[in-house]
Amino acid sequence: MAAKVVLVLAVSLLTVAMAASACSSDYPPAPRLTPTPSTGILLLCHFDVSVRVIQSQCSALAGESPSLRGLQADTLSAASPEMEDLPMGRRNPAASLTDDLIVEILRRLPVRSVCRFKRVCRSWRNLIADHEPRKKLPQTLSGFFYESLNGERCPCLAHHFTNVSGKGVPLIFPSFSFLPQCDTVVPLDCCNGLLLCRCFQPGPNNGDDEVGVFHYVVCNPATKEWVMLPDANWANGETRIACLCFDQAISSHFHVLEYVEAEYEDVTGVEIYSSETGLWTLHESGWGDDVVVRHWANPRSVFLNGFLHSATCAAEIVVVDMEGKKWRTIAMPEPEGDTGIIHQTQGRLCAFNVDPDDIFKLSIWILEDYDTDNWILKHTVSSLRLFGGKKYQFGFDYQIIVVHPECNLIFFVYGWDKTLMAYEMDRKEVRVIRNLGHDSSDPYLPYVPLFYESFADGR
Amino acid sequence: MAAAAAEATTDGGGKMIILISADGKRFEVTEAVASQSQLISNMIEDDCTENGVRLPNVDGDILTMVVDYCNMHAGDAAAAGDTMKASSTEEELKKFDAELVQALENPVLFKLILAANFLNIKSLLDMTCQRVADMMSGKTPEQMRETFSIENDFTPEEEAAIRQENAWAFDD
Repeated sequence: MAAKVVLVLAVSLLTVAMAASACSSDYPPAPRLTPTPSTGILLLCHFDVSVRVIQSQCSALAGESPSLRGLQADTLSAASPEMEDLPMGRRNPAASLTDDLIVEILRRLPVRSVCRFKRVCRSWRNLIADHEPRKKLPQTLSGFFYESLNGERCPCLAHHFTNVSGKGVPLIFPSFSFLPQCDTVVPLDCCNGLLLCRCFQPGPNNGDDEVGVFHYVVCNPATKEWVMLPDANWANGETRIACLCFDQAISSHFHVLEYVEAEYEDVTGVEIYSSETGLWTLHESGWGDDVVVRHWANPRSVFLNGFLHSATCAAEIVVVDMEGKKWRTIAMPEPEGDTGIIHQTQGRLCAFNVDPDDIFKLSIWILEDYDTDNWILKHTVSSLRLFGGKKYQFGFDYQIIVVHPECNLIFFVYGWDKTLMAYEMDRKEVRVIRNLGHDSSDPYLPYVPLFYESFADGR
Repeated sequence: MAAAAAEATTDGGGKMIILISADGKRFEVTEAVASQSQLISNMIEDDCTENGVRLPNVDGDILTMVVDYCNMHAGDAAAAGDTMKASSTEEELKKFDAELVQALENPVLFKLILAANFLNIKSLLDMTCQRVADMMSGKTPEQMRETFSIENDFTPEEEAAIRQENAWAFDD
């Protein structure tokens, strides 16, 4: 009887030890564990438990390829006895790196390298793709927010999110149920992980030409944090063009910029909200007269190098910093055929043109030198190549959604079914991602996730 | 940690402790130097360094580097009160750090990462991980498998699927 109890106890202890040896990422790594001599008591007495776990973990891993680290505890334990005899000097110490240490290295790499290393082995793929470790790694374009309008459905406006691959469970479920209660949420702009929305308040229906009562909300869809902004000094029923400006590499605070327009849409100034001060500040325009900011055909403003860039109707880009102190105008590369579409890729501003002599030819220009207006023609492509031999016209048949921030990839939406598609400039390859559905509509907002708390203060 | 450093150096060096590597090499260092390791700092606080600190995870040659690093950086911590001195030390330190990691070959670099992690010396861990990341950037998955002694455990189909999904990342 007593013997049986002891046996059971021994077996359960063994199970615990095996389980512990499998949890490599929870413990400090065990480089070269030689059989611990008795003089090691000092350290052992102090770090009794962890050292023992390290030991079992290390002996199990000794001489094994790191891809085995993901295997079950029993496999590891079974492999351990013969492994202990391997000479330590010949083992690659990299094989002893824990998952935590590999993530620690990977997070310092450019996002492009990290994605490429998904192909190294299963264990690395899982590390890079798994939700928790991935939060620490650099982020890139993950997908797009978009809307759909359907009169036969209630509510007729719905929010959607598609992954950039077009496949899998959407990274974000865009119900916005975490936002304060409001009638309708209208996403306006997305910038480096944050989303700017208008939240319309329930209340009596206004007249046709009047906009309902709304407040701006800036939220992080990944962490479900949100901040409601105080109202700017807009007149009743006025809706201004609003842009979100945020770059954690520059500041942990965000800005919201509104263009203040006189009659005939001439910009007279900007009003900038700072999350640091919690205040709106009005700045008189430093661009001169007759600036009209484009707001049709899905234009996007670009926040780059701490400046907001917006295309105007006069084939120019107006640029302002977040203090409202530095004002600049950049001429578009080719005033004729200007589409008013600007984006940024690999840290540079880019602009799209339609050839005035051949409206089915699209060109992308890169602002090579930010300090001068030196544009370089990057690529030209015909709609015949883009859309399977179809003569599609920019603005009518297709839209430019975004240029990938890290590589030479342009995203389009085209056709009746609103097909999302990517074009690779270097290989001149087209890849259809998915149909978004004929009832889907603007704005298609590109989204790069931000997984940590963004609103440390400024509420 | 900073407090311990200041205390130890008040009498020109402070209490000495002995670190013993896996292969039995002994290193005599001041508490200020040793306590840059959070692991040893905790042990000093708990008063259990009397008979030397045995580090069965760390080889003598690696511990030599770690001790050199800590010696260099403890000087910085001690001089932090004196702005003039601190700024000149900062330049020296940068040079020392750069030379240290530049000189390292792969196996030694990984051993140093493991030692920095085990001893919990954050600045050394940051520096060594950054060095590996710098070396990895722009490399192919095949080169990574070689560096890390990793076997490719994907089926050709799986590998093709990953390549397709991340096509943009593979074009250089």
